[in-house]
Amino acid sequence: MEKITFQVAPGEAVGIIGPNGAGKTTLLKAILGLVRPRQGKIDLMGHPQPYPPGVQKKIGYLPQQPRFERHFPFLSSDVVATGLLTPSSLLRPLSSRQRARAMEALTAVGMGNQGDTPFSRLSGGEQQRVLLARALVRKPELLLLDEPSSGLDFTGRVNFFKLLQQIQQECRLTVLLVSHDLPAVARFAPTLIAINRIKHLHGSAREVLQDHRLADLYRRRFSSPNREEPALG
Amino acid sequence: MAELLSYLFMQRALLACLLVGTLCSTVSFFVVLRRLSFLGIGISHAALGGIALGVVTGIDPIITGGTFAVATAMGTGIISRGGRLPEDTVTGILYATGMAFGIALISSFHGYYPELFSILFGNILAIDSRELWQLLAVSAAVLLYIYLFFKELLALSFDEEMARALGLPVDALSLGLLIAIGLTVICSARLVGTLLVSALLVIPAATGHRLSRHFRSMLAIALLVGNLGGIGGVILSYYYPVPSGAAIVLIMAAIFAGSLAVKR
Repeated sequence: MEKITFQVAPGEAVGIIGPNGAGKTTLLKAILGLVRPRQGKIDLMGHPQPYPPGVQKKIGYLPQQPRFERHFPFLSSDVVATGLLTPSSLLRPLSSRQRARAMEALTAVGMGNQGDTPFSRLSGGEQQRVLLARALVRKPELLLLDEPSSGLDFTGRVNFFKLLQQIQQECRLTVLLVSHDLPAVARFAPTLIAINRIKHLHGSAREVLQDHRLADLYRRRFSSPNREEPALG
Repeated sequence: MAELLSYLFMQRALLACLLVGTLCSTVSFFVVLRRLSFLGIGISHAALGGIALGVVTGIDPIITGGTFAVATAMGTGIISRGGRLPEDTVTGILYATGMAFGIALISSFHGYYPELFSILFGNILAIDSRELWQLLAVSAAVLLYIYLFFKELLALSFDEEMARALGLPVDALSLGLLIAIGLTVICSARLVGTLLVSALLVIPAATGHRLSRHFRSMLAIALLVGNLGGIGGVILSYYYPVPSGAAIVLIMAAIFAGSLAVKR
């Protein structure tokens, strides 16, 4: 990816869209520090990478279609509790206060009565809510979501985004959301960033979706990232 | 039964069974959850190269075999990550290479090596106090590692990418687990032999996984199956002319088969 520059204000919800292979997931992973950029820099809350532990703790992450074993022997509350682990928690057992926080996070996503339910017994939509609770359990200021509605049916998608919007507004969360689901992203995020390796559009959801260059960006999905082309945004 | 317990070799064998049963069942918990069953088979077979080296050079085969087992485990982790190859592909290569080295070595040095057969097929009844201490030391180290990092190992077994995003030292923890598997394989070789040890790394936790929905009960069932199979196998081999290793694996396999009849 090249020439992708943007800023996100605290409390802003931003959708990142683009064709397959555009680099949306890579962008989120670069923000998280899982992928190191060869050039350029990423600042988070005023800190460059590698972020200090205090900043790292303020990031919540919901990965794309986690490839966990279907029958993994975890209860919903166990899944959420894994979100509390940090390098500084090594060698220390989870406290009862942390367990209570896991239950609070489950309650916040409407799954408070499912803490003792095996994770494998939940529906896809319910599992996604539990994974959202895991992303929220550290009370993050920035939430990164990678295709959170993939694998959900229409009702599941609608309910998930409704819940996300409610949590984002209540907690004044900054959200970066990657999704293929353009109508859902546009409804959720007032600001959109469309990328395809070297170019991007950045603006309000209405502006970006009505921009004629968006279709061009999706058409040129296989263009070489090394070719010099004028940036769109 | 009182007669059986009156023999020192039987007391040692039963104690070794409890140690190996506990060790293998605990390690099998992560082998099954992390889908490393083939790695267990690979390590145990690759260790043959080290065992052969020990046998022909006169060095304790448990030490040379253990070195090969740990090197295979670490090599699998390092090569698969560095070379971007699936773990099972790397295991397949190291497994065959270790075995080929062992076969070549044994064939080159003509001789009769009874200790080789004892490690290949296991002979728990012949375990001496030095081997028992070795087993105790390795069991303590492996179980301590798993106890200390249990929640982190569990988290990365569930979702490795998320564990990385949380900042956990995923590569170091995974490598530690692979070394633990390598040590477990070679320590258990005395009990059931390197050819059957992989069963101890799979069946206890697989049975626990079948019968429970929570990791605590899965681990408890795995420990029960591992110890029951171990002690049952030794007792069976005392009364009937069945090698202890084969008896242990057959008892565990029977328990697993019984678990298939239970509806989840």
